[in-house]
This record gives sequence, structure tokens and C-alpha cells, in this order.
Amino acid sequence: MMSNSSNPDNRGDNRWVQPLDRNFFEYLLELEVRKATRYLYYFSLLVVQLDGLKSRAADAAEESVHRTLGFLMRDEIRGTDLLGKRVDSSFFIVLHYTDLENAIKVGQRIRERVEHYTFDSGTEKDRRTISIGVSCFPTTANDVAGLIQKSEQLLMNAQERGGNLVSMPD
Amino acid sequence: MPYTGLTDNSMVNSPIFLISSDPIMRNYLKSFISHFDQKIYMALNPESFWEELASVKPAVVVYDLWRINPDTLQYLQRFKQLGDSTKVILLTGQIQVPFLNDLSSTASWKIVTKPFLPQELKTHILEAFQESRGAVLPPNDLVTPMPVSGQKGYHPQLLLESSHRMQEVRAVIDHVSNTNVTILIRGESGTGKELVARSLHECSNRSGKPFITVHCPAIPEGLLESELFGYEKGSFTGAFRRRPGKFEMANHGTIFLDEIGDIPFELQSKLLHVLQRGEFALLGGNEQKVDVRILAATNKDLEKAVAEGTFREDLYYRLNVVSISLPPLRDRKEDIPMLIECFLQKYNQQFNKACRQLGADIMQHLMNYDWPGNVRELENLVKRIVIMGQEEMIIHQYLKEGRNKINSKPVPDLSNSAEPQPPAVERVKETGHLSAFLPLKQVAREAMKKAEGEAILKALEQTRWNRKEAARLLKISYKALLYKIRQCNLEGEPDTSEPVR
Repeated sequence: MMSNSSNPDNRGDNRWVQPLDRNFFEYLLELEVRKATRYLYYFSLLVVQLDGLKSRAADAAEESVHRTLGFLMRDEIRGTDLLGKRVDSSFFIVLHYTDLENAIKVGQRIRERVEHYTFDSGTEKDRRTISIGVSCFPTTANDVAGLIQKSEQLLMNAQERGGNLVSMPD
Repeated sequence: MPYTGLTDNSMVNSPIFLISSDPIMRNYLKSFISHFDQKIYMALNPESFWEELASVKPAVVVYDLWRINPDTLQYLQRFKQLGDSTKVILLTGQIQVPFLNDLSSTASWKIVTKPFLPQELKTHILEAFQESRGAVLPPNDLVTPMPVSGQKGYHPQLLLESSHRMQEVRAVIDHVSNTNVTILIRGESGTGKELVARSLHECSNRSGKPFITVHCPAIPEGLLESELFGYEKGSFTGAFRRRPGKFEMANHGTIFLDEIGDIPFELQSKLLHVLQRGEFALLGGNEQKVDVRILAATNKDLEKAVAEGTFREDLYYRLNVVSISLPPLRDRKEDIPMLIECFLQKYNQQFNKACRQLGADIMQHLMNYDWPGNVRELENLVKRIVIMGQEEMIIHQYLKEGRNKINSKPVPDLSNSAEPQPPAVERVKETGHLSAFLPLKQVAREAMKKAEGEAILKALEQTRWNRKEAARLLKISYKALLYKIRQCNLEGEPDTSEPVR
């Protein structure tokens, strides 16, 4: 799935920026929990959201920004990791075999990549930032509800502290 | 004849007939109705005891209408023939069926829709008694809630087992499930220790959280520590990444350590540490806290192991805070009919078969058997019957084999025996009985020895016992061949390696 093209905006495959039904997202995560329990490995859940999202209109230009953000994130993770968009316009990333420490490193890398990227929505060029909430299975929580709740709560903490942050559990 | 093993013998002059084809519901209703202190007749369908029904003319019939099939209407019509003195309480979840609506207007019928409250059923039964014969029931107090069928958390099989000893087990589960105490579950192999552990977890406030089972003997001794506690990246050769252990996986939930008696002595101190402080360390890592409830099971005599010094005394006392002993099936044979029925239903559904109920004489044979493999053995037999059919033949053959095995002397250990024994694989084939099985490693070793012996013999015969030539054919050294020949007892032929001059 990962392309080597230098300009992520030009890529055709945008399946991971199509909003995903919440039930299906939970089903995916449930499978991950089962696999990780069965094969004893860590995995991390990152919930990513553009800062200042609520103040912006959900128009075609914003859609273009989302698509670009999806490509940027896909560039920063492995081809086997999961990336998807949720109905609330936040993205999720599931990093397999990744403990909390390494998940935070990946989160920081994505945050910096977005921070320094100039988004071209067709009408204007813009700089955007993101906030990320990171939780890890089984360190932070060992069930689907716990993982989602913790990541969302950490994302909210990051946004409340001004955004452009990766928030991790204490 | 109704199920003799299930009939309540508390004689009072106004019996209650209970009909239900659902074993869980039947068990619940039996337990519920027993509070009325009446004799209870039970059956799967009315067909089973029409004669008794017609002659006794009971005051109350409780009919759990689980599935409506072509026979149902016919049964209901026959109930009408009993007259107004018999009240029929029909429990059903299907209120939209037209003929049920007709019945509800009849005075001698009460339609109770499921789900119902125990109090509701109690009222209907009392009313039915009063209306039918003006009978006054003993003032039994039914305020105490009954154990509800399919009670949340319980494994259905545990609910079916209605013997006194299993009721005691359920009472202990009820008492301790919501606490955090460590529980040691004891019992012979196949008695359902894991079912009890799972029920303890499901009945506790940790029910939505992970339940992790560790079958201790199945994990090689050297790996058990890393399986239980996990390891840090680089803590040993091959530890390419950090890996969580079972304890971390079970955080906020329950960990079930099956066959705890087989845990290595060195690891017991680490386990004790987790039990005492709720802390453990990944191999090569730092200590971390966990909130895990520990359940353990064993079929070994831990007291003896403690006395012999193979099991830590302090760990034994830590584990044995509450102990649940599961009785072997031979000590609670009254559970056998219910269990058979439960397994028949399960495997009929699983294999899409329609194996009917077992006859009374077959049931008697099964009741007389000792069941050394306990519930697991019974379940496997029922599974075999459902798959193969011909239950009479299977059961007679099976019980005969089982008795022969029990009556025969124990098989001596091959490794220490001076007398030659038939290979393990053949012994298993011959007896075909579960307990004839040896450890897999021993079976593999013997099978390998047998196959090697055959290959060597073939090579020797082909080369007319020229060992040097045979070694070349077999692509092993001459010395190795001599060793193998001795090992397989193939000596005796003259060596023709050197030509006779």
C-alpha cells in the first residue's frame, strides 16, 4: 500500500481516508486484542486529530487536507500497520508489535512531519498541526473499550493544552 | 417410565408434573417447584408419561413449551381430556400463536410468557392448586430468589449438575466469586476445574476483563518464566523485541494457572512474589504492578509435594486461601442423566444429527460404570454415540473395555521394566482406551525405535548381514550401525563383512 512518490497528494489510493463505521472500527480493534493476547505481543493505538478542526467548515478543501494527512501518516508507518479514519474526522493508527515507548516515538515523528508540511487545498496554502493520544495494549489497557477511552482522553488532554502535542499515559 | 434418576421422592398427595425439553429450564423449574414440597414427575415431553398423567390426574402440570412442532397441538388437545381438575401452566415465549390465544381463554389453562419472574410463577402455581382441589400448600417461603437458569456467569454445564456436592460447589462459587482471594481448585482430571475457574471469573466483577489460562505443563520449563512474566528486548539471545507476559495480559482480570503442581520449584518464588505484592518484573526489566486475581488448579496431592520438598510451603498456603474440591463423577452419579442429555443436545446440534435419548437399560449401564475419566470421558462417549450411532453396541463395547482395564494390573513403566513390552503405539491401538496412552515423547521414541529397527533389518537382509555394506546403504557410520543393532536387539546373525577364507 505504501508508495514511494515524493508528493503524497498525488497518490490515488485513498481508502484509508474514507470514514469507518464505529462498529467496524471496534471489531477491527477487538481482532487486534485477540491476536495480541493469543500471540503475546504489544500493540499501540494512536488517535490523531487536526487541531482547530471544529472551527473549520467541512468543505471540499478540508477533505483535501484530510486526504493529505492520511497520506503523510501512511508514509510514516509500516505497510502492515492499520490506518483509518473515524466518523468524527479523527484518524486511528494501530501499530503492531509496538510498545508505548516506541509508539510515542512514531507519534512524535508524525506530529513533526505534519507540522512542517504545507497543505495545498487548491485555493490556499496552509500549515496545520495535529494532536495525538497514545495508548498501548496491554500496558495502558487490555480491552477495546479501555484502549479507545484512554486514547480519546489523552487526545483531548493534548488539545486542551494547546494542541500540536503527543499525549501519553502517566 | 419417567427419568428415575431425576424424580423427587418427597411424597405428598398432590404431585406436580413438569414437562420441559430444555435441560437448563427443567433444572431450574425442578429446583423452584421443589419448594412446594410436592412429589415431582419430570419428562422431556408429555408422551413419556401419559399413563401416569391419566391415572394420577395431578393438580398442576407445568409445561415448558420450548419449541412448537406438529405434535404440540396434539399434546395440548390430550391435556384437555384430563378435565378441569388439572390446571396446566404453559410457559412459552411464543405468544403470537393462534391456538395459544384460544387456550388462554380456557379456565384450566394459564399461559405464562417467558421471561417470567419467580414470584409470578409461584402465584400461578398457588392459584392452580386452590382452584383445582382447594388444596392448601405448606407455607413454604419462596421469597428467597431461586438460582435462575442461565444465571449470569455460570457455565451451563455447572448449572445442570444438581447433585448435592455440586450444589455445594456452586454455593462456594457464589460466596467467593466477588472477592479477590486466590482460589485453589482441586479434583481429578476431567471433573471440570477449568469450568469452575471460568465461572468464578464470569461471576465476579472482573467479568468483562481478560481471563487468561496458562496450562503450566504444556509450556517447556525454560520458557515458562518468559511466558508468565514477559521479557525486555535484548534480555537474552533472540529477544529481538519486548514481549508481554501472561500476567501483564491478565491485568485487571483473572489468570488461571492450570496444573500448578507442575510448576518448577525455581519459578515458585517468583509466583509467590506476585501473589504477595502484586508485582512482577519482565525478564531483564523493571518491576511493574499488576492487578490480577489468581486461580489455580491441580489434580496432584500438594500436601505430599510440600512434604517431599518439591512444592514451596509458603506458596501452598498463599494459594490455598479457599479451596474448591470437585467430586469425581462416580461420587455424583445422579448428575449423569442431565449431563448425557446436555451433551446429546450439544453434539446433535454440532453435527446436525438427531440422536435420540438413551434407553433406560443403557442408562443403567452408564450409571453403574465408574467413569475414571470423569465428565470428560462421559462427554467423549456421548460425542462418539452421536457421530457413530449404534449406541447400544458402542456403550457395551466401551464399558467392557473400561472394566477390563480397571480390573487388569497397572502397566509397568517401560523404561524401568526388564521384561520386553509391546511398543506403546501398538498397545494404544490394541486397547483403544484413553488411559492406555503414554506420554507423547515416549510414543514417538518407541515408534522411531521400531521404524529404525525395521529399516536396519531390511538393509541387513539385503546385504546378507554384511554390516559394513548395510551401514553404507543406511548412510550411517559402521560404529553407529553396531550401536543401533544392539539397541534394537537385532544381534545374532554372523558378520559377513569379512569374507571367510
